[in-house]
Parts: sequence; C-alpha cells; structure tokens
Amino acid sequence: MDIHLTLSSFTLLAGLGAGVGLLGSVLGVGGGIFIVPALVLFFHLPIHQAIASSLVTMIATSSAVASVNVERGVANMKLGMALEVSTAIGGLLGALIANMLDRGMLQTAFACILAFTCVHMLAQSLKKDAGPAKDTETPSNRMGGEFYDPQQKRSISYHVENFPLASAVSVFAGALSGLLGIGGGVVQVPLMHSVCKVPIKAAAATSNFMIGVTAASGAIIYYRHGALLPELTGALVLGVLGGSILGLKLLMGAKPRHLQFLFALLLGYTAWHMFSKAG
Amino acid sequence: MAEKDIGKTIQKTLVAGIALSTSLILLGLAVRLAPAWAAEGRLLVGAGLAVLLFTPMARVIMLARAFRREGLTRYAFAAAAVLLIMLAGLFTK
Repeated sequence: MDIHLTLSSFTLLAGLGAGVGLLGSVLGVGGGIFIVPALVLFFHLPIHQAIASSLVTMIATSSAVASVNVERGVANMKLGMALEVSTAIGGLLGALIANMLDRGMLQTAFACILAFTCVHMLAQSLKKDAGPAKDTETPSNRMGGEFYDPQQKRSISYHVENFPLASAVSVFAGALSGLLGIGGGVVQVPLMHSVCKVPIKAAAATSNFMIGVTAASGAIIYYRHGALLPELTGALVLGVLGGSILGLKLLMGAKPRHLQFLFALLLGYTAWHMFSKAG
Repeated sequence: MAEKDIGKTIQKTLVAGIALSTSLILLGLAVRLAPAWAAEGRLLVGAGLAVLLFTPMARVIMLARAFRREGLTRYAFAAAAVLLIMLAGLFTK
C-alpha cells in the first residue's frame, strides 16, 4: 500500500515535512515526536508505517547536522561510536518488538512518550535561564574530548565518566527509538550530560551524531517487514531536510521559551487524541 | 590534529550520502509524476532511500578504518560490532 502520489499530495507531504523539520530544530527536539502523530492523525496512516517513515527522515536530518558537528569537533565520535553498540542493539530489538505489537498497543505506547515529552518541554519552558553554561575544565581522558565553544570563547576539554552505566541505559534509548520512531535524544542527551559529565553542547551534538545509526538499525527491520512506503517517505525526507536546515540557519542555538510552552500544550493534546483513538 | 582529519572524512561521507540520496529521491518523484514513467520513478525513489539507509553504515565503516589507522583499536572494534548488528538486522525478520 502506498498513498496515491499526485503533485498535490507530494506538496502536502513535503510541506508537512518542512514544517516538522523547522519545528524540530527550533524547539530542540527530534522530528519523530511530530511526524508520527501527523501521519497517523492527518494522513490516517497505520502507526507502523508512520514510524518507519519517521526513522528514515531522522537518518537524513541526523546525517546532515552531524556533518557540520563532526567537522567542528563538537560531536565526540569515540564516545558516540562506543555508545552506538548499545543503541544499535536497542534499535533493532525495539523495532522487532514493535512489529509484534498491534496498532492499538503501539499507539498507546506512543501516546505515553508524547505525554512525557510534553511534561519535559513544559519544565524546560518554565526553567529560569541560567545563562551560558560554565563548564568546569577537566583534562580529557581517553574517551573524552575537546571543542571550541564560541559563546564562552574558549576551548573546553572534558572527561567521560560512568561509561558502563551510560552504555546500559543506551540500550533502552535505542529500544525507544526502534519501537516508536523517535531519535532517543530525550534519554541520550541528559544521560551523557548528567551521568557521563559531558558538557551539554557536546552531549547534544554526540546524541545527534548517533541517531543516524540508531534509526537505521530500526528502519532496516521495518523495511524487512514491508512497512516502509517509499514514495511517501521520499517526499517527507526532502521536506524535513529542507525545514531543519532552514530552522538551524534561522535560529543558531536560541530557544524561544514561549514557543516551547505552546508546543508542549499541543503535544499534550495530541497525546490525549492518540490515546483516545488507540482503542 | 588526527581527530580533525577523521572529522573531515566523516563529514565527506555523510554529505555524499545525503547528496546522492536526495538527488535520486527528487529525480524519482519528478519522473514519477508522469504516469508513463511511474515504474522508473518508483525505482529511483527506492534507490535513493536505500542510499540513505546505508549512509550510517558507510559512516561506521569509514570511522572503523580511521580508528584502526590511528591505533584506536578498541573503538575500531566498537565500530565493527555496530556494523555487524546492523547487518544482522538485514537478515532478521
């Protein structure tokens, strides 16, 4: 099954993708949290197909953003690669589990992650601005790294602590990604920042760097189960890629709090809507 | 400095993957809009998505090679493990 692709449906899909990509980079969340409900609620797509498309669009945006971050040295490729062992296993398992669940169960699970993201985003929007991060200088150990922070106007080097714990939790983050078609940054960024003591900018860049591999591990399973609709996904990929690049150019790191608050409410409403339609 | 070089290699791999896949998808969708060329268009879009799915794998392979060259054997092994997991996915159902 694939939607009947005409010029108008193509434009609609690419437009939806662009909107989602723009929102994702403005709000600092991955697009999956918006793509999946939009495809399910507006395009009446079965949730398995929506998740498959979402994972593929995330490979595109992650790769595009990572190409900038690795060159600047913000993404820690050693830490990323080491944690990817866990997220790839998780992504694969999550996708296998998703393909055993029926539509209603998966939709309920997605409604739960939407509700969680809503609360998380509300908290972020209400938090007082602590000003630019003051990272403490620690000499980098073997897995650690160093990057130049233009806001603090200095190089920051750091250790990576508690790697085994982070590695274990990353299986869970990967599984969430494969199960629900989200990137997993909502787990991975706080994990690297709070548990591994990696500066927030490096944590965000490394998480994004990893999403390509995590999402691909899951997407391959959906593809094998015939859940990937090529033309719909192709149109979405083009839109999301355009939208997120535009968002990054417009914004350059600022986070508009009132917008976060507004969309947190929208996510809450969407969670309720998906939950009520799951039965 | 070595890490900067690795970063450049990875950047090139990712950009090449994205550029090739989006070109194929765009071309495929454009061709697909002409009813007579629907099958060819579909094939091109499929090829574009395949390139996109394999881009992270290509990135892992390039990183494995770079880590090995730099003597970072543990990370090269991690990369090889990731590659094996992804390949396992291709044969799992």
